[in-house]
Amino acid sequence: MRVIVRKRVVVPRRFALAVRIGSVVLALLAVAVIFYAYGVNPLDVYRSIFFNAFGTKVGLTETIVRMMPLLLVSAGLALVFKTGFWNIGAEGQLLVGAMAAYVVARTFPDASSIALIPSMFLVGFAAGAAWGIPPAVLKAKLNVNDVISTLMLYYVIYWVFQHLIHGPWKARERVGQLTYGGFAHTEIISKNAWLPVIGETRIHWPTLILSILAAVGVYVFLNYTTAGYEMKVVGDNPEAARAAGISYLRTVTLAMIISGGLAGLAGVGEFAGIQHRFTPEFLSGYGFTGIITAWLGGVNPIGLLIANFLFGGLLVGGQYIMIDYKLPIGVVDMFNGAVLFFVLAGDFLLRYRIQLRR
Amino acid sequence: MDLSVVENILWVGFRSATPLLLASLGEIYAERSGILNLGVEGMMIMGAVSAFITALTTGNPWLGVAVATAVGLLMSLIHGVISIHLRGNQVVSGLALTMFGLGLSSVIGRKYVGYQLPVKARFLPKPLSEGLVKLPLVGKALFDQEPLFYLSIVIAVVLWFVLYRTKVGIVIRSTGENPAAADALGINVYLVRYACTALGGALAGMAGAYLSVAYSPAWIENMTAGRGWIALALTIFALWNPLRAIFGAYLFGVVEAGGYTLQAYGYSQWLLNGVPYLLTVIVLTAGATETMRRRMGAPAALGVPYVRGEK
Repeated sequence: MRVIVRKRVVVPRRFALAVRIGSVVLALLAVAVIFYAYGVNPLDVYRSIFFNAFGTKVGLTETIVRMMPLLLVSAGLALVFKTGFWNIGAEGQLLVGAMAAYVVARTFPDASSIALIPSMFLVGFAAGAAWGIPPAVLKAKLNVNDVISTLMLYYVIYWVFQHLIHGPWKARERVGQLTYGGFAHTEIISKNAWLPVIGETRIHWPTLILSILAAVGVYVFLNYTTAGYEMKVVGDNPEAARAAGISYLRTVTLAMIISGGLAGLAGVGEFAGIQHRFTPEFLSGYGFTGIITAWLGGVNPIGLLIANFLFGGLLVGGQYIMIDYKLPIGVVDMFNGAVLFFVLAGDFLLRYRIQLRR
Repeated sequence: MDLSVVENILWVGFRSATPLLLASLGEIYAERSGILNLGVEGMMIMGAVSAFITALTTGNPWLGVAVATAVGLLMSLIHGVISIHLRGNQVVSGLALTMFGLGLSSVIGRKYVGYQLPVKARFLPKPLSEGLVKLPLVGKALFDQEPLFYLSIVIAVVLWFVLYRTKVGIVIRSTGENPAAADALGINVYLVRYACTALGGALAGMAGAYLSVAYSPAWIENMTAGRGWIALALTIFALWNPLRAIFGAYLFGVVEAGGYTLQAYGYSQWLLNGVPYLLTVIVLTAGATETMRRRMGAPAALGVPYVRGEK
């Protein structure tokens, strides 16, 4: 008996879908084993996640609240990944965007919402883009590793952020007193800078609109513009791109401006739409989860919407199981990692055909 | 700042360099064979939690190191199977390994948060000889350390020797540079890559053990705090050379330790926490000009799956 592995020429759509679903199911089973070993009933955990994320009205709207920043981040990441550039630091670009929104809101507390909200998004986009540009330039000019530089810049801005909220930006009533354990926070921004929400939910609709525009926008950009086409060429075959006179520097920088900028928008939404002030726990990992959803969804609005909706739900459901089953917050990371493993393994079946021969 | 301050910075710096050195040595071998493993952070944190629990329950730090090494190795094999046999995307697989490790370690360590290792279950710095420790400046840094510190240097020298002075080293390097040619010469490319990936995992696990049984003998979630990523940067900075990794690790360690010391002089601890990460970018940038000048780069087949007969 011999195993023969051949490259597939075409992948049937249904088969591709079945493999993806199968991969996720296997990941669920693998994590179930870990839950079981930990001493909780995996079926109960999964039921709790699913019910709390998708089974109630509050759960569904919260899932959408989580989906919005993920969608923004992953739309940009899916695009930049097409160029072969690995932006792992979207979390930092998101944070810079949020910090920019704070500066705008604090500088013009009396401005009207009509002026403030668009300005925050604009400045947030610019700030996120600005934080994303250096790794692109360093990679293009000096071949500095993109994975490391983007991630390191996340850590840099994270500590700058901690410095600011523990010092210069700390709410006034706390000044002059050393505080330990959770008193480090900024003042709440003026109500004019709060994003409007839909009814009783926490869905801040300007971000919802932007996130859907982003998911559709990157698709149109990649497939219907020259710059987008150049990104595909650079990603598929850098040598051919150079031979064709496509500038690597310009292409990758543009992709990072879009990716960093969209992450910045996600930060603005999270800050001005949900939290309205900074605490040390402002970040919740959208920049990292977005890497997975970008990779799963690709530059495809439907794919991105599905992937982010599901992972948004996982984040919502994850919060409940942390409380109900005393599981640490890392459960979500563990789940994300497992899903990626199985999807990667499943991809093998999509790219290759395995035959058994005597 | 008097001399004793500098002496202390060097001592603390060399201590914090040890996990960076161990992890980047492992990654050097993995990358030399052509496998890019971005899961160092995940393997390291799994090493840390398993070493801590083992040392706490058995009271034996060496047993903790052994278990951590085995756990790191097993973790790396997940990445190995996906990258080598399944020809998956190594960047995504490595990220998945990091996420999975960070998450799983927090689940496993949940019941141990806040525990401290009893003194007998830790590695404690012990002067090699009273005379050597009295050497000015570097005496403490070099001769008042725990066993893993010395072990890491021995491992570095051995790995350098194997890589540059033995046939095994040639086999590994050729597998990373040109796997098709290596295959044609009868080298088992898959076997070499699995072995190097496993070594990388084992050393990352050992690095984690150092953190939780020697450096700060307690279990804290995410206690690796990005050290796995700094080790990856070190691998590049070291130009995939184990001896240069020693130099790089101590450079990073001393800068980190210098930061802690400056806190005492009124500088923002938050900003100082960010310095090692900024330094990583600066060092890589500065190193990049040298890499380009000397035309030295990553192993040519790094991150590229090998399939016989396929271009």
